[in-house]
Amino acid sequence: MPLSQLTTHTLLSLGKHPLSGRTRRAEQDAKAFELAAKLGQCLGLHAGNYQDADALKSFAGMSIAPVCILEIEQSSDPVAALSAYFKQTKSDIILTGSQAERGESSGMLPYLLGKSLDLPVINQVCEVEQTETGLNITQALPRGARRALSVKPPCILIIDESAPEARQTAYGAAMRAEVGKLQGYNEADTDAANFNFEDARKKPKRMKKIKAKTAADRFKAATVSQAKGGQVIEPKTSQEGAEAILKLLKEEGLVKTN
Amino acid sequence: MLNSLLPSLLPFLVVLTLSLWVIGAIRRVNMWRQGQDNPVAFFPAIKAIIPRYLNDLHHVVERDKYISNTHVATAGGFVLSMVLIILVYVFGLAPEILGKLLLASLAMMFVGACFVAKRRINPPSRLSKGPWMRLPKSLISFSLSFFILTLPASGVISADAFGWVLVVILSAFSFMGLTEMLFGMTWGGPMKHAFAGALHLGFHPRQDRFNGGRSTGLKALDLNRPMVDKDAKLGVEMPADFKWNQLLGFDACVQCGRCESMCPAFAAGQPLNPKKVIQDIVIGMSHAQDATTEANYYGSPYPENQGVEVKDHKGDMHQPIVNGLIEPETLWSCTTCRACVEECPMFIEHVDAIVDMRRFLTLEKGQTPGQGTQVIDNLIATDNPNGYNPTHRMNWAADQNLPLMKDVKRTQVLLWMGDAAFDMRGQRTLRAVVKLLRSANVEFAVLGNEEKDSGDLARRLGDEATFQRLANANIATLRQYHFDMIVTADPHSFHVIGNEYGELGGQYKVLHHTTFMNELSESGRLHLKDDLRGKVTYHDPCYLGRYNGEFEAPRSLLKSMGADFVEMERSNFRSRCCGGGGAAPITDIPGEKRIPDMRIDDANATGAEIVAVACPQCALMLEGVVTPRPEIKDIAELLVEQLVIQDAAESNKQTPAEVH
Ligand code: SF4
Ligand code: SF4
Repeated sequence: MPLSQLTTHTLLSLGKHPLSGRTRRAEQDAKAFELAAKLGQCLGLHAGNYQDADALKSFAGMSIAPVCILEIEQSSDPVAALSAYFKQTKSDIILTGSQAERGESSGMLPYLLGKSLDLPVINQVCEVEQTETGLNITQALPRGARRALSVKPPCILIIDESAPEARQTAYGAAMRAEVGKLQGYNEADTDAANFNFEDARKKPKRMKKIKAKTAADRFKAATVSQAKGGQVIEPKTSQEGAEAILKLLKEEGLVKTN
Repeated sequence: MLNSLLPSLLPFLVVLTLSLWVIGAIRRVNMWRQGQDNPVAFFPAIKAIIPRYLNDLHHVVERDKYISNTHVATAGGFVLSMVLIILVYVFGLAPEILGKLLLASLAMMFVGACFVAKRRINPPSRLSKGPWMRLPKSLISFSLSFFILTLPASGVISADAFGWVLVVILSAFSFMGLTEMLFGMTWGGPMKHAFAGALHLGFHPRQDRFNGGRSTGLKALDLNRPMVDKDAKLGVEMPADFKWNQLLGFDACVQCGRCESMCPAFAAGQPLNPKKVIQDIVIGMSHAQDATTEANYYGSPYPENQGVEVKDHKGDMHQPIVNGLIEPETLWSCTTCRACVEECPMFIEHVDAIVDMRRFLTLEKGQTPGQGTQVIDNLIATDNPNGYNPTHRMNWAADQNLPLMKDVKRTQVLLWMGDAAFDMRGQRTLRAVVKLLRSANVEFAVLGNEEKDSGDLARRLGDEATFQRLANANIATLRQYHFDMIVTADPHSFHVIGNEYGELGGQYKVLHHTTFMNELSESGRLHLKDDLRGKVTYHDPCYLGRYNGEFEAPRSLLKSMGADFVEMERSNFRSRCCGGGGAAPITDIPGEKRIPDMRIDDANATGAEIVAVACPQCALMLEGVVTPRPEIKDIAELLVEQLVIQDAAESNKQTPAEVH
């Protein structure tokens, strides 16, 4: 398939800063948009309220592609809306982040969309390259491992954290941008109507004691390896290994000794 | 035949070059006018030129006594001679009397020209060569040939003392001189500086810089322009985007390189040379006009400029500057320390120009380099550059029991904490300041978590939008409360709140902590022991010293603590930056050396054991230099060490008292 004929959609959502809670461009979606920049004709698509148009300009300010809002009601199901849209509008590639920063944040959207459109879904994508016949995709596996895939569009790609950083939003370009509007895709979300939302709780974290008084001390603390003690054990039997682990857990106070 | 033509030869040459001067002048003015509007009242500007030359400009030139005397003789001699030449040769007015006067002024110019020539025998590297090496010859040939030709004209010697051959030769020399002095002045030779420079003094974009004024705050950008006019851009992309009188200023550069010799980034081998920045813009705007300016730069290049040759810099009035004329690394190396501006005899505003171009890169291109993008994102999301939780700003003071403006509503001193509140080094200074305020029984309070970054960093990174958001938010918070003054230990906040919030509607009395503490000490409310041990030197923060003229208070405090005080070679208005301003540590452009290392070398040269600082950024930068090095202490910390606590109970009481 020649390069110019590919059409790409990037699904964009509004993010929420983890500390201040302020609205921002969702980080992963921005990375997805960044990858889309080199994949033919692209459109940034957000299923939601048109009131968020100003906030979405932070995507438009990346000057990658126009941004459009698929207008739906608060109670509507974005998957249904998107699926209806993509049934009408052909798209070779749909790029998404892996999880929204607000709302249900279930990470299910790309899979549900894939199911409804009957498209293959590839997750953990950190690099995409266009070839004569399709796409060369690099998938990020745990511990820095990478897997090369070759995929024939149409498909849905879910971005991995390790995808290249998104470019900066340019204020001027964002202000000048006009966010498009698409209507007529409302479909009630029957599942969500019964959901009960409550704030997530943070797992408590162990505190680190910082003794450094001067910048130089802190510099030292940050650069000099902190590893102290510890030993490499090569257990002969599984019993021996398990005992060593248990001992350490007891020392760290993570397992109570009776 | 020849004999009858000869007497009219010189007047003809004078009129010819004068006409060319006029045509060139019109062309130059039209070139500057391609810049953006920036109205300056015409007649007051013209009227201001001479007083500003005599006071302000001469004051700067005088730092180099040699050249100031030389300049007075040469320039004064030339202007006077030119007027007299027109009167005597063109209008034939009283050649006997005016001719003798002309001889005197030419002699003065000749003496000056000889000193110019002497400076050029072995010129320091900061001076440009090329046509500038020709200038003394032109000056001498102008003054000498006119002098000899005027001898008979003024009746000192007989009218036909010279044969026609000699007259023709002398006329040729005067023509050479006239060409340099008049034609070159408006068509792009070294003498251009006189024409553009004089007008720049009058039409300077910062009118309040003169007469002892200090105009150092950046000017606000109209952020709504792109919404109103889709073609309008934020910041400067091409030479024509500068204000017309900025272009005029760049054209006035005499390539003296004083800026270069003061620039910390240049000295550190980073790819920045303020003189070259100005010349690059000049090459861009005038190359179509001046046949001679194409790659016409004979000064020091940018250090470390990865393979980019001077002659590769090409541009146009309407072509993008960055990556044509100037590499982005050049713009991002600047610490905005203003050492160049302070030193420039032509009153050129390098920092304004650099920030204007940064604004375009950040606001229109989204190309803030290094950690800049991250810092801007953090400022947008958390109101502090490091992305700390904005509700943790007051955590440092958990044990301080500080009164909050939110509770007290009204106080005498509002202590502005700055982002030092998030930094352990800065917190030590803040604690010291609090202790001092308490010991002097000053009624004060803080904004606590309501405080936001002052916007300094965002603004220097070119992100005017974030600056204005932060500034407006801070102004709105401050508006709810009553206080007599703001006191801060951060010169950047001090400068921004004091000098840059005004344009957005926030007018405050802001004092730096050293100024305030000095007042307290002088009025006897702060009791200090005068036995400070060890040799102490003081590093002037750029944003306190050069930006705001406060050199005295910190020194006076050190002296009242009995410090064995030594000055570094570069101190006061010539102080060398610590490298921490203008977001330079964030953009982090590599060089051969680090600026803070050089500053510590300056301090080591004095043998000081303590470097007193007055800025959290300076403290961080200088303390980041590897040991052994002098100890870095904020003046507030030194004051606390020297504090005489008279009565513990007394000092803990929060009785309000008057401060003046
Ligand atoms: S900018 Fe000013 S200080 Fe620098 S070379 Fe030009 S005239 Fe001299
Ligand atoms: S402000 Fe300072 S760092 Fe920037 S160009 Fe001028 S002297 Fe150099």
